[in-house]
Amino acid sequence: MIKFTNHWRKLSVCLSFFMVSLSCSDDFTNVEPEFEVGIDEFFQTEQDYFEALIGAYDLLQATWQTQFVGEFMSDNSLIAGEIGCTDQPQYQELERFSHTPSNTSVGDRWDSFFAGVYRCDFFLDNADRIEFDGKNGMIAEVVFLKAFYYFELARNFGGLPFKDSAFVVGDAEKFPRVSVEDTYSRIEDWLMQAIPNLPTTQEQSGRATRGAALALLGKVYLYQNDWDNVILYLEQVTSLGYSLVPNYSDIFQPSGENGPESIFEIQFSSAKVGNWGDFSFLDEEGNIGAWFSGPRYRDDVYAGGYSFNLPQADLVDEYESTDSRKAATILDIFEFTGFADEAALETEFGGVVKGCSTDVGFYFEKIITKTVDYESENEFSRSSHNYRYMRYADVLLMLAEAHNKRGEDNIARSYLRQVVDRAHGAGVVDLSVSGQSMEDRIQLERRLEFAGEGHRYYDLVRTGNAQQVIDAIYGAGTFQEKHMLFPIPQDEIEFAKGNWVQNTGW
Amino acid sequence: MRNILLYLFVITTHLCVAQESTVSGKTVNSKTGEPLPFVNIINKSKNAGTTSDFDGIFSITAEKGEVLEFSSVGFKTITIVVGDTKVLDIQFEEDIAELESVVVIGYGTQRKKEVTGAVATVQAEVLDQLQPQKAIEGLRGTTAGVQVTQQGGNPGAAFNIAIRGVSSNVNNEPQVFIDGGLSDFDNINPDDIETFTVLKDAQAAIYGVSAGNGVILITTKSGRKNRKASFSYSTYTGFQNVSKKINVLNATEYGLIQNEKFINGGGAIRFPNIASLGRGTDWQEEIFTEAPVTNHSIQVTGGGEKFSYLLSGAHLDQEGAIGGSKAKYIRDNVRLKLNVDLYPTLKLFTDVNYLHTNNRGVFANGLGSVTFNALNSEPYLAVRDENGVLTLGSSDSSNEVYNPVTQLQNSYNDFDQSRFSGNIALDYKILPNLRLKPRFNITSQNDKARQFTPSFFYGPSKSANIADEENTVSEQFRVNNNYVFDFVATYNKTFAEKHQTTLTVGTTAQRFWGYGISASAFNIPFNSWEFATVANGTIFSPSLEDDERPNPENFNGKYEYENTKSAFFGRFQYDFEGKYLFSALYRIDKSSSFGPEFNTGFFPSFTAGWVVSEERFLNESNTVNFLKLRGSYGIVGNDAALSQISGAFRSNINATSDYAIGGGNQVIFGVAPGRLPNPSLKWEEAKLFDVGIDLELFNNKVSVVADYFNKTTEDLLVDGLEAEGISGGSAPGSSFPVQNAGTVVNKGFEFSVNYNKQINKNLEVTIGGNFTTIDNEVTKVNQGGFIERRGFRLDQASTRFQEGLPIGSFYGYQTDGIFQTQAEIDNHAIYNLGAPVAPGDLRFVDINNDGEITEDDRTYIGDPLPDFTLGINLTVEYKGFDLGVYTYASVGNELLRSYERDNPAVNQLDYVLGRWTGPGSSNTIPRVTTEANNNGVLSSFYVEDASYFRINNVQLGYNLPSDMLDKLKIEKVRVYGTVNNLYTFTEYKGYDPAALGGDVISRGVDNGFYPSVRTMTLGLNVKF
Repeated sequence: MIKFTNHWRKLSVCLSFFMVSLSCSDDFTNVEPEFEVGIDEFFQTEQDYFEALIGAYDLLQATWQTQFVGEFMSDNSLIAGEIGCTDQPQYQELERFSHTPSNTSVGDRWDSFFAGVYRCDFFLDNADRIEFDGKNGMIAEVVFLKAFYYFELARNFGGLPFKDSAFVVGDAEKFPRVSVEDTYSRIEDWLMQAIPNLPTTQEQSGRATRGAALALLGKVYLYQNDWDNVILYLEQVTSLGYSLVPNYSDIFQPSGENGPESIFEIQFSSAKVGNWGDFSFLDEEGNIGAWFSGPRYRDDVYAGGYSFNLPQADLVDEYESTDSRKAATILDIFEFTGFADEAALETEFGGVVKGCSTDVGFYFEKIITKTVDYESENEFSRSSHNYRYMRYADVLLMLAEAHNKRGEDNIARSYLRQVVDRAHGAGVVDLSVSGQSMEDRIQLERRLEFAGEGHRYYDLVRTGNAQQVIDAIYGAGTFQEKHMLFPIPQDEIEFAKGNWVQNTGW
Repeated sequence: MRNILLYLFVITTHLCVAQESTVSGKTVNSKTGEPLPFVNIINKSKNAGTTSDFDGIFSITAEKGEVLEFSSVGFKTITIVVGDTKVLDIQFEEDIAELESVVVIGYGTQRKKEVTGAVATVQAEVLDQLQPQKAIEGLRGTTAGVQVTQQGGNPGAAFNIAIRGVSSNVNNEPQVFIDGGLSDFDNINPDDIETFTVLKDAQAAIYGVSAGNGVILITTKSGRKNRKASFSYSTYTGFQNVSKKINVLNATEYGLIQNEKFINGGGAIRFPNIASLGRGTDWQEEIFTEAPVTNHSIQVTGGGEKFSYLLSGAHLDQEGAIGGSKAKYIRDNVRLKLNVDLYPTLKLFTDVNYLHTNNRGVFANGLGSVTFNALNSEPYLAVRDENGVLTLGSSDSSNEVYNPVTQLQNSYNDFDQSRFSGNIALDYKILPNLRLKPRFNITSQNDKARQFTPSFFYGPSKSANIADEENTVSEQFRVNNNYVFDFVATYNKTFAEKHQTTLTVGTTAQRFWGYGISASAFNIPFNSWEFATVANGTIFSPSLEDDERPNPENFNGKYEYENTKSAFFGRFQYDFEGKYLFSALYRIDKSSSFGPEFNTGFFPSFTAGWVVSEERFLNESNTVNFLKLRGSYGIVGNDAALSQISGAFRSNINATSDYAIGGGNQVIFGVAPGRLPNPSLKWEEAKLFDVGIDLELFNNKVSVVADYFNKTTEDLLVDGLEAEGISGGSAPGSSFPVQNAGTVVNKGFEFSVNYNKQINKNLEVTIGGNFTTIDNEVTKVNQGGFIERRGFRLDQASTRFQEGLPIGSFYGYQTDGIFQTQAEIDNHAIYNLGAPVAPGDLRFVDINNDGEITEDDRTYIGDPLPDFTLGINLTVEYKGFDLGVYTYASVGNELLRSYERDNPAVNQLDYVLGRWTGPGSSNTIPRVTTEANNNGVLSSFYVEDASYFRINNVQLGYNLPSDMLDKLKIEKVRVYGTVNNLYTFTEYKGYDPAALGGDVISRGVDNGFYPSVRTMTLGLNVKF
């Protein structure tokens, strides 16, 4: 018994020391996660940089909202959707200009494009870790992307906050919004910094080129009515080998993606689908706006959608009879199916053709998904439709606009002529207008040329025509001064704790 | 000399005689008259002791005038001064007040009357009567301050439990210890439980960072020493039926409403021939079924001179009242417990547990669930066509609504879990006053899950359709392990006979680790569950071209994790004459969930008590038998929220990052930072304050416990709190950092009363009641923000975690009636919500009085937290019969009706029959129309009072008389019948007012909970 006691007493003392040492040890509670790469451990190889570059490109797909919102907030289309005009209230509000700073679509765009900025800064903040051939080209792409995201933000929200490295939580209180002029001037600086290091062509389609940066720079000046600089930079684009695709409708076929007219194209794929929980759909590779814009039924030709973003007669009627863009842009579902009215169509196909749209039966032919391109029979298709963000036709029409504004109508006409002739055939349309009439004609051509491509709303606001056009649809007083910009999202204003002033009128 | 020798002889003889002077007799239970075995008998004068034997027979050396103390757990201690009588018949009275009974308080025990914290216990007898399928149900309605709710009525459904209210938006589960080992409720067969002990206040601080949500200690049954083997067998079997049907329109009503709706919307009549519709299909009846439930449980206990053992096993087999065998739940438990006295000063405690569950389930509570489809499917559609083939969903209605019977038929999933756990503990009395208790506890759990989505066409353009060859199977394997190593030393010392002190110091180390792997595959051969494993499928959907195939990392997953914690703790307890009680606790914790600078926390707490009834002025009172005032204050921590979040204080490269460069449909995969890091993260701290009173009245017939508490949880670990978008947290696969970002206060009263009376020899009545109020408020959310959950009817914002409101408040428009006329609309604030307004529409209140109805007019419109809850329980024993009735109620809680699809053609609840049809027709239910309107946005129209009173359990049992059993050598036979969930009094329209979802913020959104079931069983207990 004595022996036992001594033995166990010693053991107890040892055990006590062991436990105390275990509990005291920092190692015990310092656990390194397995199979996880910390931020500090990354950027060791060229491949790491390439993968981070993909991360910076990733958020370009948030422009599906640009393409979508840019249409239904204009006179081109109505948001529609499911019966009741309440389907996706955030868009319904935007369409009627009853949105508030709490609108989720507004918030999503702010968040998504700033997420893009964050991905760019993540790359740029770590750009000096290693050296390899081609790094400067990658950096130039990232700088271009950062300029792109800031441009999307600037034309929606005005002046923005800037920081030399990635923003972190709490920075909204610290970094002020600079003026819209300063914002554009920084975007210009970035683009000028990127241009010399970007190649004129990229092996992988969809990556940024010198042409894309020049065209975007021209566009940035266009938004400031700086006609000289528009011309200075866009003329450089005309010598880079871009050309108009002879047959307009070819541009929008899957085979027409990244074609000779494509200057910067947002790449989408149906191979990875997201989930319905989050309406920014950032985890998806598909073009959500194009998918939503399809008819609410599926047949051998059209792969189905949700009847959002329906073109209105006001747009359809603008196309002249010789205009080949009409058939390429607009689908008339009654004409196509041969059914007399919506009821007959519903009986045959089920689903609802229209939402609360007033002009029934039109869809954006150029963007909606065709069954032949999407083999799956489950659910309505996801869309792999690339957003033709900037086409050569855009460059030509921007040049026409700038020259017209400078009073150089003959030069303007020559650019305008290229676009119009492609649509109607050479010389079919009389373009002997000038001055204000030519300006109107250029804007009309922009509307017809880019219908469905998300330009219209931004053009209306930029040119000061928005109030007249929007009020004509929804009544006087709908488009107010404050609508020249979207409101800064309400939660961002609150996070900034007084550091940021809300846009005027909101 | 001779005289001296004689004298010595006399003395020694006398001594010998004195030594042989024994007192003997029998210890008897006064109530039953049966012998009471193994009573502890101490001769206080000689400091020697013995125990009575199996038949209660004892014998102890004692002189006249010496003091004998007889004690047995659960009985009043008897003290006798030995007189002339040497044969004693000691009659034991049951100690109903149980004040002498021992309560576990965490790393130690205490006599109940000396406990200074707010502690509640539930005994095995309650579990016998409630006959719960899961142990946690034993706490529902039986304990003040403990709220137990179920996430639906499906077999194996998860429970929510909250002690004194919810604080965290992530994890509110209290920490469960079984016999001192870290565990959870699922790990135990209810029949193995001896006692639940709930530590509700600062006394739980001895568990430090694990105690933030409260602590529940489960003590299991054990064998007893010197007892021959005893077998008991229990079984019950019965049926479960859905206890409630939601009243929806029949086909004729549906047709009429549809016609009116389409006419109002300017369309054509949908059903010109109403007369032909009849009652149509009752879709709920089509999915409800009668489901069997069976349980077997066996227990063997016994012991020898130096050891005791218990071996138990149980098997539960239950089907679903929706889905039948498709919702089957099977559970097997095996437990072996062995306690050995290795040496008189060294005791060994061991147990080994095995748990296996197999659970299938049908999709309940969500858009597209079986109940959702049953409620929304059009009643004019048949279940089967004339050939007996199940019908397709109609193309007229929502894409998400289709025949729920086809859905049940195509529901295939299987979840299999097995778990081993074991404890080894020693109790070593190293010195008379010093005991060392090392304990090692290990658990290893394996989960295997499989889901199969077969190819099936549910109807034109239904979102659930799966094309041929696109059927998918997903499989997951997970392993979770943990060990806990405790080492506790306890030192007792009494000074000057009045000052009793106990010092407990200890240390603990815990490690949690495991991994999970998941994979999916397409195109399972024969579209069959039998073949549904990833090995039989293809990695890619066959419909995709080569260049469209996504990276396989989309479908395969793997994770590993490891968390560790270590701590020191100490507790000093002081007791002056059993009157004045005080304890102080201190714990230092380290946790791997936090960054190096913030991983150590300090948790002090204090408790104090005054046993007033020990004072002279109450000492002799017959009215007040016992009165104790007590109070406690302390700080406890909580890192539970982080057990489910990795990378909280460091950022990893694990976000989704992909872009479709390079043409075609291909996707190129890149990388990006995942969750934004928060290096200065630290744990939540709950400040617990409690004052209470324990009272025994009228010869201990009435006992009362009352408490006021305030639990203020600060630095709440808030996940999902948005920060400014410029920080990049909205990037895909990324998220905003976990932040210490809020304060939640839970305060309230608890009151419980128990009355027990032995009315006569045959009749005994016990009535218990408990009452709890909890006032919950989020008092602070950093960054002025709130967390909002979407989910009302697909994607509408619904519930909030917001400053000034209770957790999970519903947030929408307040209605104050229906617009009766256009003039009313013209005089009302202008609607700016997107759709036009017409007479018959809901009238929303212009909360901010700006003359417009906009999003800014949304406000608090209810919450799922009750104003108060109560439980009333009754047991009556009469001769061989026993009756137990258990009820509970919840008042003031609300739920959000969200199971109605917002689509013109789906079926509706029958309240729509009382709709507005013209001025004066209704002021509560809006018109029906296909026209654009705002009636579908979240408003108080969808918030319902879900107060209820539920007769939860009624059990009637009968014990066969013992004279009959004696002949059969059987100790006990009891037969009983039970009705569980007998009836619920409620105004709530949905299936179950008592159900709550799992997510704390959105738990009040009723998307069609799996209905609660009424279970009727017959049972048998045999002991021999």
